[in-house]
Amino acid sequence: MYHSQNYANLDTQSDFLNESSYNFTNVKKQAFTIIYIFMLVFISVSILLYVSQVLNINKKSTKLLNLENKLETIQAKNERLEVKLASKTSLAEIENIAKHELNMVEAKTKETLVYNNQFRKKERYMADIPKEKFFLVQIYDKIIKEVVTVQAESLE
Amino acid sequence: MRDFNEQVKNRLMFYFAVVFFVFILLVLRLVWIQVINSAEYKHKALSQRVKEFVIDSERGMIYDNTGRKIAVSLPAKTVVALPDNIINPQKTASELDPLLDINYNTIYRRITSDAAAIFLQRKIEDELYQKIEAKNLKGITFTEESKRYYPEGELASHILGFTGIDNNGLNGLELSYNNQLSGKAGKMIVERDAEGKTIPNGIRETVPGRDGYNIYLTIDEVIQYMAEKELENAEEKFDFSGGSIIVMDSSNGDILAMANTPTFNPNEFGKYPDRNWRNRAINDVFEPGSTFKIITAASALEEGVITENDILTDPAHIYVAGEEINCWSRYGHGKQSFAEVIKNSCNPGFVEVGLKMNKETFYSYIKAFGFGEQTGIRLPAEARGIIPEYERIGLIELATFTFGHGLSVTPIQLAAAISAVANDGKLMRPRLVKKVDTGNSSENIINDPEVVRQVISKSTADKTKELLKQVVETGTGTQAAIEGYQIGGKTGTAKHYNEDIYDSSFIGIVEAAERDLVILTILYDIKGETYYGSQTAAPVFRNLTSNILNYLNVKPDTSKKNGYETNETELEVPNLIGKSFLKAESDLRDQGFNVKLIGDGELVRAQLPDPETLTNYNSTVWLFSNEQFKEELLLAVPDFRGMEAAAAVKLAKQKGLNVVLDGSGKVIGQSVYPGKRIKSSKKINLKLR
Repeated sequence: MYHSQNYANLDTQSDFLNESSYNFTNVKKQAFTIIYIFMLVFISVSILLYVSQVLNINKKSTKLLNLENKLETIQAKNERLEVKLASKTSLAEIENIAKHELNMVEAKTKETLVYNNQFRKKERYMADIPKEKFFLVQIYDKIIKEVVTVQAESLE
Repeated sequence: MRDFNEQVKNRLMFYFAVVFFVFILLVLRLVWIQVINSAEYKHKALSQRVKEFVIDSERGMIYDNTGRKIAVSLPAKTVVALPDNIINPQKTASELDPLLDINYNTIYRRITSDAAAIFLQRKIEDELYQKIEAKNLKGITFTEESKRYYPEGELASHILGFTGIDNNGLNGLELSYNNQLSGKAGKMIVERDAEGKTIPNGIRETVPGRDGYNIYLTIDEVIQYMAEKELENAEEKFDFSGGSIIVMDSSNGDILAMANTPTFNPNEFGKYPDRNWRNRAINDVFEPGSTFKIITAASALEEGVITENDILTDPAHIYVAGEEINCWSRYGHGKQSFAEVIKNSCNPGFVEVGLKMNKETFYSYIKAFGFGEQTGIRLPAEARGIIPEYERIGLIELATFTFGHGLSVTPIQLAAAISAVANDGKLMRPRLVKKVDTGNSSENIINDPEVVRQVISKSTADKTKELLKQVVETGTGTQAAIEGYQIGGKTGTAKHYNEDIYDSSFIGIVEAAERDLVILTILYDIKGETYYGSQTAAPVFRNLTSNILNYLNVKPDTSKKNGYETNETELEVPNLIGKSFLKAESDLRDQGFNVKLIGDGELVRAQLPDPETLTNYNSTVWLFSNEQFKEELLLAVPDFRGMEAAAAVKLAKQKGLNVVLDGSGKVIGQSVYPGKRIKSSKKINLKLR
């Protein structure tokens, strides 16, 4: 019971690809694929970023811990140096160096000289000159001025 | 074929069932572990990774008054052995033997013990740590602890004290301020990996501790050094067991220096004998000797029983309750004013003055000056001194107290008491710690200067200071004088009973700018020919004071008038018998006399000296409300021998004694032995030739 089909008579003009139902399904599939790929990439990148961040944080934390340890060591060293400095600058050490390295000896007799810079220099001000004297000086100055000054006269 | 297939199917089903059952068991176990018992296993896992540490608090620092650190704490390594990790104990022990303080056998025994970890040596020096670390020994590790360091070594070691291996104060301020200096330990929880390294971003929790508070002292490092240096220099000159020096600012009680010998280095205190640790200025007592005469003089002047112009006599001894008390001078000092008695440090003179005060009065002054009780300086084991109980004090004891014998005081008590004289009569509590810095300024503990009590008036204090200046200028303390500076002071020499050993001292009041410094020098158990305070302690005082004044930039001033001026004027004592006490006192004071009233009556019934006696300006006239009181008074008999008749009569009248002359010329004999104390009514016959 086979029906013979005439393939030659097939309607080659039938444009099923252009049918609306076919187009819609195809585009949908493509969109899904793209979204799927995009999501995959996005999630992968996010995971990668997250892992890298965690690794980075761990790396930084390790570095921080090392720095903290280093700081502690330096602080301890600094404190030790400060104490050493205090010991080296102690009065006993200074005396020891002065006496035994620089061969200095203690003065047997001491003399303290005090320079008194509190004395006041006596200055004479104009106001100190008695009023009468000041007046006489003024007259004297005027006379001298009169005598010494030569007035030039015109020939006319 | 069909049977075979059925058999295979059954077997498969059986295995499947077994596997399924095992799987179910595993699932159930997993649920047990992960869900039901998760907390327990979580805790177990965590406890494997999480380690808890105690964070030691840092002990507070101690600073001097210039801000220099004199006690600090530093981290130090402790050598720890992990016996399980040590592969070759013999080799490890032999490697450590030359480096550690413990011997080979001890090291071997420790590193082969059953303990998981054991300390080999605690708080080692950094250089030693580097050496051991360089050897890279398997099973030898290090832990960090805090160690106390004293950068200045022996400086102020008796004040600072020291701490033990667990950082607890064992002596000095380290002990008395241990609660403030030692903080509160903190805690830290850290997550670590199998290698013991901290896991980054792991659990890390901290319970913060509290560091110890810093302490600021009143001690001046330079003055302290000078004081210690002077004691060291004295050791080269004199033969003594130890010495103490205290430098105190009398205005506020600040201790600027407190030095002792023998000394020790607190960084390695274990290497010194216990006796070197003693702060003798606080813990030990000594007989003050003549330095105590300052207290007698101040008390008598304050009580008004004597003035500096009153006439006293010293025939080289005085009899009290049948016992003879000698003067240090074999020939005595003869007739002298009280000012001269102080200058000459005359024992009979002071006994006479002391006996003029009654027992109750003098005892109350001794107590008021702070003797017999702790000063409150807050150093461990402060001694109270030895002042006999009031009931056990008789006339002899009272007499010996006046010149500093029969009682014992601590150097800090004596320095504080004399500071009261220097500080207008106000007794200050000695202050060693100025501030305890808690880190929060509002909670800082400030020790403000504290006035304990006003012991004597300002005028008495000023007068006593003036009288002490003449001791240094022309008296027994000339060895302490420094040109250009006003210094008052007193020497002291106390002999040990039945031994030729002496405690020699000098205490001086020095004007330094706006304040007076009190400087006490004591040399204990001096042997040999040179033992007087004037020969030993006074030169130490002078050298130290000269350096201190130079350091404090106090310039010498030669323009200031030195010397205590005596008023040579003589006054005639008026007749006051029958007058009211009030009127008599006011009349006498107007005329320039000092007055001492005895009794509660209203009218004067007797007086001493008698009317018309010619005596010194500002000398004391005693007024009695009852003749009986005068009668009971015992007067010391002078040595009249060698005196002209008129002079002998005048002296007898001034002292309130009655003499009967027999013959003319100079006195060659007297009926009562010089130094005896008799009633004023008793007559003394003088034989003249």
